[in-house]
Amino acid sequence: MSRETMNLLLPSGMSRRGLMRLMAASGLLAAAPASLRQAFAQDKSLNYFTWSSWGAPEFVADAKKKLGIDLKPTFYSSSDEMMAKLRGGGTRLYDMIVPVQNYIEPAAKAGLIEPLNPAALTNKKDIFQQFAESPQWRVDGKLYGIPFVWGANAIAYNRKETGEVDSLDALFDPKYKGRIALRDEPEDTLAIAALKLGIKAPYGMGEKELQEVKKLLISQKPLVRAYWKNVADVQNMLASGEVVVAWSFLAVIAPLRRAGVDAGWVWPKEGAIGWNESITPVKGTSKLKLVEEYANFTLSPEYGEFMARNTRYAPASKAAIARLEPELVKDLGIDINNVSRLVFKDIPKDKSRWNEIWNEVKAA
Amino acid sequence: MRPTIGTVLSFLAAPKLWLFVFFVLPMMTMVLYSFWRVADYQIVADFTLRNYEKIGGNLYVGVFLRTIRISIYVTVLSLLIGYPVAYFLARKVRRFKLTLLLLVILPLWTSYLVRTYAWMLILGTQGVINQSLMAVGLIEEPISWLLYSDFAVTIALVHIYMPYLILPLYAVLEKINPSILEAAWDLGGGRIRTFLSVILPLSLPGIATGCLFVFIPSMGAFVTPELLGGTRSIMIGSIIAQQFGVAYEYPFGSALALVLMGIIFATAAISLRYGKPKGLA
Amino acid sequence: MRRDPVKPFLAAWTVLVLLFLFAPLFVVALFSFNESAISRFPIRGFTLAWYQKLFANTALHEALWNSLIVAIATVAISTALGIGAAVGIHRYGGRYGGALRSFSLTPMMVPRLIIGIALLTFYNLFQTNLSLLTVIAGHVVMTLPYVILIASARLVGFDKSMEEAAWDLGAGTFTIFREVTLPFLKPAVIAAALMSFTLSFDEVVVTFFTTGNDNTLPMMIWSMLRFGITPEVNSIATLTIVASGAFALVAEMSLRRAQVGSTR
Repeated sequence: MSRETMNLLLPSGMSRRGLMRLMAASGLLAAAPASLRQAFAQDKSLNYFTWSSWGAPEFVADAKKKLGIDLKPTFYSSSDEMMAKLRGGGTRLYDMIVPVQNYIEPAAKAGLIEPLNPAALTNKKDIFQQFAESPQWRVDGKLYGIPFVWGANAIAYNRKETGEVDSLDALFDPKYKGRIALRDEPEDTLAIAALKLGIKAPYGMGEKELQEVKKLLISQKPLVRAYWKNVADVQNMLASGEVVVAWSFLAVIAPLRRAGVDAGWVWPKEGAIGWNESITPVKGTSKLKLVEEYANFTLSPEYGEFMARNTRYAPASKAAIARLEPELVKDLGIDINNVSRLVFKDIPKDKSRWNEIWNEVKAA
Repeated sequence: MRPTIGTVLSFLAAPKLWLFVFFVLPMMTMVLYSFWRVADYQIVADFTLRNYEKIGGNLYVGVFLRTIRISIYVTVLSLLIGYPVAYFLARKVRRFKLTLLLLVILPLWTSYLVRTYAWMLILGTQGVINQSLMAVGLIEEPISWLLYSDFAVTIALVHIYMPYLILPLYAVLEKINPSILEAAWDLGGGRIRTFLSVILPLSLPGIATGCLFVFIPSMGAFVTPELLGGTRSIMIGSIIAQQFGVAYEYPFGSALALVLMGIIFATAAISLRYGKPKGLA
Repeated sequence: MRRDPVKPFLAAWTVLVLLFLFAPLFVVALFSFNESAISRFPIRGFTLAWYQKLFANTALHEALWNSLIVAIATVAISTALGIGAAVGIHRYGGRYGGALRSFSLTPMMVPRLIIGIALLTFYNLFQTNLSLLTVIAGHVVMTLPYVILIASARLVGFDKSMEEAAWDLGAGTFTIFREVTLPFLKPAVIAAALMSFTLSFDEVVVTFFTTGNDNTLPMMIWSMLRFGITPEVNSIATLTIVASGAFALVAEMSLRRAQVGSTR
């Protein structure tokens, strides 16, 4: 921008806008591009709205190689984001998503997802019963998914700096002042504060308990370096030494170790936040058959093995685990009996209250 | 030349129409939405003032105030840092004037995202500043408040928006007639008095415009505080973006955005009014 | 001229400020050649591996392509509309000229975040499918004011009698525009086009709220920052810095030539 250009920017008063007329013009947009998806209904590509782990390049390549399917991934970093994007136009963009069990009911009720044909999921036979038959994946008698993976959000730590960690206490330890990270997500963070306070059923907390949780989290704030939003944030903080202990996704561990960080992963003894995930078709997808083919593929032993080796996540398929060496299974900590140590994610009674409490903690 | 209605329309109507459809109508849609509500992931079109009532609560007023505070820090810092530069470019150099001006402008052309990200590399525990200071032995422990703090957000926003302040200031300062300065000198005004009583008042319009160019985007910043802010650096831009990107709360987000616009337009109106040159108009 | 004791201080200050403006960009460029997978200081070793990885990344090619489509469309639309608007205001604005220009510049007064969410809300109301088209619409809103500004600045030096003369010789309005006004505006058109191109090419906030499945280059950088920071981010950032810098140079030079030409 040059001198003359800048002169024109100088005070001339704010504009007064005449806002009438031409409401009709908006009609133009409404009629604008009809779904491109329809036009390509015949090709073997799937618009895949997912967590970054499941849309990583190796998974895209694997789908292409084994099924001839072109995955076109777009990522979200929280269940809320998934819901917001689906509602805000995503149902016209995506063919399938990977929801967490506790969002199936709201998503089905809001008309965002489509049921699967159980007969198409032949690999279901290998899936652990508690996941395959879980009522959380069924709404009004319709099946919305069979989980291919299960796991927990828990503590990642830098072993060189902290030694072994086994308790939530590490996240509240003044010793690590300014070197702790928590997730910027009430569903995780309010729940772990509740576990720390000894509240057994975090997702059923009442107002009194929420206030205690809020107090605890505010008192912990001076110890916390940052609340992370995206998995890359926490991974980067652990890698660059900004923090030494963090509430995290398991996904960070493999890349951290590849980068030479002695990264530990532990489900704290107070409990970890459990989840399971499945391929679920998006409402109105024109490629339901293809989605079902891919969903069944994710339940296969091959996919489970591939996933475990690449990401360290635990397959829900018994047959997949059978293909892994016993030492690896031990190293990955895959043990279905551990499920009892998890507090599985649920939708809180008053979700907006949870959000408010969390915003109050952040603004405090 | 007597223009026909047709020619006038073809020159003026198309751009206005575009702005109307893709700017004015969307803003009006936001006004509409701000009076609606969401129930079970559906936007329900019945009139409510709840969104605005919610903003009146302690939480959001607090966030607005801290956003205004940080934006003021950013603006004042940009002015203090940028004014001497604008003054130097406008009145003290001849030969390299255009080159220097170009250098000030160049960073504006690079991505906002990249410029934010760069500060992570500089301010981090393992970043350029901490590691250099430790290497020369000035500090033993990394300074932790450099990153994930209000400091980081402020300095990055100054870095990103300051050139927008220098430009209009430069334009105004350059136009000041040297004979006015000579006169002030001849009347026995010292260097400082000449500056305070002549140059500064004459550059007020530039200061006003420049400050607005920094203040406005700072008020709406959300990527920078999200990447560089700490546990206390929450700004209203993040909360607004959250209502659209993470929560399906368009109505509440619209209400927040309109309050933000209100604050911005009020600030703009005030600073443009007081930004008129005094005396020698 | 009197001797000026303040000048050296101002000069030193200006140099410091320029350092402040450029140092971060150099740091990013420096890290893009860093061998370590973790971006920490001091740098260890020199490598081009991150650039190689980046160029092999097919997602990058798609993002680059999308960015080009958006930027070129934005340039075409906003330059055409903006030049038209500037000429229109200059010729026919009369006493409403100031008000019309102010209206056109309003989007500059609105944070990008709000332009983005307002469009998203609007598209949501009409259930419009998000795509590159919806992105382009937003980018034009964002760039149009700059085009009008640059063209208007050039028109300040325009001698209306040339148009009058053409009119007297019997030329039509559009002929005059094509044969007289446009050639005069050429440098401004080039500068405005380059400016819109860069603004659009670098834009992330408006794009974030208005895009569907398609990633642009800045969206890809944003996505890298969200879902896996690798040193590739440094490489891609460095490339955008270099490209933007080159564009800025060309734009400024053509604008400067325009002004030199109009000074009498």
